[in-house]
Amino acid sequence: MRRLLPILLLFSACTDMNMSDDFPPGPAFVPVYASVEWDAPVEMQPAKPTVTAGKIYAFRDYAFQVDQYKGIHIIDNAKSAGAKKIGFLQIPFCTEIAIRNNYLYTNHNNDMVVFNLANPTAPQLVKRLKDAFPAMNTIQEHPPFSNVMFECPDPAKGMVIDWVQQTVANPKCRR
Amino acid sequence: MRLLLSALLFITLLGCDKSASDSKLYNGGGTGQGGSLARFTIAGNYLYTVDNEDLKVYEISDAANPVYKRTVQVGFEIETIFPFKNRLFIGSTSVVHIFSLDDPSKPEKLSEAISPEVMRRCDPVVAKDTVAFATLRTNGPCGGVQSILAVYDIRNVAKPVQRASFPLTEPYGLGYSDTVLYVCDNQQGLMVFDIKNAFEPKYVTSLRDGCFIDVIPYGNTLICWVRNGMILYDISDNKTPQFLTRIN
Repeated sequence: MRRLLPILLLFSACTDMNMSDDFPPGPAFVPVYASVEWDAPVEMQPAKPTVTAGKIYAFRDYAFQVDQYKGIHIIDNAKSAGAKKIGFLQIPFCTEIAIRNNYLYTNHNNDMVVFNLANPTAPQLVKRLKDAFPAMNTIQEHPPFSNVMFECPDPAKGMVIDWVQQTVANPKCRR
Repeated sequence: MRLLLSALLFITLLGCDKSASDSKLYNGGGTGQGGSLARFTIAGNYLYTVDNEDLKVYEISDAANPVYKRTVQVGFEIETIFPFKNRLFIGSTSVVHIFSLDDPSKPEKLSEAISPEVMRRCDPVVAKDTVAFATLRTNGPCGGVQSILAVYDIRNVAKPVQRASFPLTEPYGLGYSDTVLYVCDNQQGLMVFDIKNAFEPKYVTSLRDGCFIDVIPYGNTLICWVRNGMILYDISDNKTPQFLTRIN
């Protein structure tokens, strides 16, 4: 079955999507590309503003929030009213978090990585499982809607992480 | 036209489940708590992850050294995973897959449940042991079906039965603290429901401090994912969340 998947996906792409030069101007979805480097280092950085807010997680006196595809904001929540960011763990293409006994599991590119959080201001990478999630960050070939016009993604521009609705002079894709 | 049974989180279970009454406490200390839109979840000594098609199982008895156990093919367009008792609920855009964790290293598929069509055909039954809440989000351009908060009887976990629904605009994640349910309705705010009578959620109020996507009730704090960051509320009085701070 697994071997069939690429073929099935190809099929669904063919049946789901129409490309044409004839669609009139009008509202259409435009791809948003990830401004993330696959090769950017995994490292702790000073606290910084959230760019694209992602998933949240709670562990003891800490809260965590993914910055979509960029990393994890670590927040000291010991005094909730005074909760504040204490750092940013840069992890390219990170989207997920789970924590057990001071070990944080997340995804880095296609890998699973494990950090020791004993000192949350300086998480230590302790384990990497290569290619654990090859399909986690699947490129969004089309907007998550049906019967809509959209600008065809350009793979050369990188990974599509979102879609925004705009007026497009000549949207070439339809789903 | 397709109904997106998104964020579908089946989650949030009350009734006989002891964890409901423990929700004021940090759960166990050793394991953290995620939101209802997660693709990673920890149950017992195992970490379960879902990508678009597959469920993967890792043993984490030694937390620093996850050991890959197996991959189970689930379906298409998988979005979320949530553990409850000895089950995993895996939400996709169209259906909830229910797996048994009787052998936690080897999840076995029990059933597929809750396509919207099936839900609407369900006859109400009388039972109050266990309840699950889900948000069913339709999308504007092709929807036509009302987005709702749905309430299910899951006494027979393989055959959930819808018991109630409440119309919402664009609901995503949800979570509960004791007898209060919080539902994220994006731009419409955070909806607060009294669920003392779990099968008849009563709307209490809505908080309009942001565009709400997901929540984690954690001790006396409600951690909210909003469009531009995070908002924290004090929920010592869980029906009337008090704004604490915003982290952007």
